[in-house]
Amino acid sequence: MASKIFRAVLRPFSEPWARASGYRKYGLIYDDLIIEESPVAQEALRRLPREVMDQRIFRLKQAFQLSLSFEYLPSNLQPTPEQDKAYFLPLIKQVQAETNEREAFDSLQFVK
Amino acid sequence: MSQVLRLTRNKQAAASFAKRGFVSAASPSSAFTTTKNGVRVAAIPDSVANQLASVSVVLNNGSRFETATSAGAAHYLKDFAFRNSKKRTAFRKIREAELQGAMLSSEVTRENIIYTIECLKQDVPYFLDQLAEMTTSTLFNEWEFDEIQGHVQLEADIARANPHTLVLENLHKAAFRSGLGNSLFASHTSPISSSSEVEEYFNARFGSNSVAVIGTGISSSDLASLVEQTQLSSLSNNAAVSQLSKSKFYQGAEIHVDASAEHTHYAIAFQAPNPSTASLLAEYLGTNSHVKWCNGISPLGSLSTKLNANISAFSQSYSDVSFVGVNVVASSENIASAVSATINQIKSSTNASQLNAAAFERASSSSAMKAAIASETISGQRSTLSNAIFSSEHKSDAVDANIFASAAASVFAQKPTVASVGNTLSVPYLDTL
Repeated sequence: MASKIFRAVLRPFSEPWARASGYRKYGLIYDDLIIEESPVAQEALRRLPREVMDQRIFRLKQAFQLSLSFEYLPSNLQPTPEQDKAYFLPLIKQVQAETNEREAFDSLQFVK
Repeated sequence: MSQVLRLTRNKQAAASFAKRGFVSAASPSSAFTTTKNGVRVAAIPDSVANQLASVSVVLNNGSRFETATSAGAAHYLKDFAFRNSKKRTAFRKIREAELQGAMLSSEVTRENIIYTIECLKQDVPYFLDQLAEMTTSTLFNEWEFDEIQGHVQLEADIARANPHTLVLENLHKAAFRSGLGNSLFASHTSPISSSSEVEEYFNARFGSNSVAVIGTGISSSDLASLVEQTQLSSLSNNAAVSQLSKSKFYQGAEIHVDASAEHTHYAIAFQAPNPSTASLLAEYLGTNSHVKWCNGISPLGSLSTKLNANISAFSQSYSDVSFVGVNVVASSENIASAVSATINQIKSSTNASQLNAAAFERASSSSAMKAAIASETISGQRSTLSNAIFSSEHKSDAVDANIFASAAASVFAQKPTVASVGNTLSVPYLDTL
């Protein structure tokens, strides 16, 4: 309930906030920013479908290049809010759930 | 982190099931029933008190249903057993099985794919629920495919390295071309390269009319009522699962494969009218020895001793066709003479004077013994049930001495189909026999 109100209050600010944080100017989408140097993220990365992975690598390389040359992507090529969809976070959550399950089983009390 | 996991999901069902009791000595034979939506159920209860039970889901989707675009899919589907499904991860299934002492296995035959859990009797409701959940909602994740592919290729390579398996595969290929002739193993040339293709193959023949549940150590009425409580009871009929067209046995076909080995394996097959005749004829000719360290006195057994070769008969039965065959293993330089001696032996031992009542008696008691041994083991019971469950009638054809003698004469008068693995320069071709 509290989370519902919280969401309703913050929702209108989310889009301007995302725009202001500027990652879309480099052609990135939000899930490209997630830190991938963890075992969970690495496993999630492995599970990405081939074409999604290819697009991710392309966006990252493009962003490095733009950053090096102090440029922004032309506005017509920047990702729209509709394109800024979660593709990585759901997999991370899935892998995290599996890790939690494994921990639960490793420390389980057996009740029959 | 400490957590409490409850492993008896369906406590009520388990309790009522335990009360009902398992051992029903009243009907030791198996019984075939169906649930309301048409899922076939069969089980063999214990004749003596025993702790062990097993439940299997049988999918009528074995390698004979593969097409050119789905060759090898059945082998992959077998390996998708106990993988991630909607409610349980693969990890969870394995840990639960370990905790309750169950054993998980899956196998592929030319007709069926069988997922089996062997467990203690009180755990049957629990594991049946797990099996049903897995059957109806395996996720076929793309990222699981690589791991499965490695295992499938390993199994295929091991099978290819075994000349006996290879010669049987080629015998089927020669005798049936497609359908039953499809390989059980996904070869390197298999067109299957993603989970979605396996899922497509699975869905094409998935419905209440192509799924069966078989059990051992449990009565079929108990098993049927347990199946009614699982997701399998909400399956609907799949119209695409039509009656299959009858397999044609191509006589006079031959496949010879070169293999650099000292010995050559040569298999000869004759079409038989029904499974019981096929098995009787094989037993008459001599399957394997009943005495250790000796070849026995059956027609082929004595020939084996004389030629210093391994010659034995076998029979294979499917829902619509059966055949009796002879497998000859001899050194490559002697294979031609061994095969022609075998053919002569078959001819001479199936003439009318040899096929007397005593010969029939020997064959039928040997065949009955084999069936009795099979019915003692869980895997034997499982293969009996799974072979019978999708055929329309569950009785075996009665064979007496006269039918046997006339069948023997007509079966071995036909042109055989042969396959061999070994030195193709020395194997005899069919027209030279």
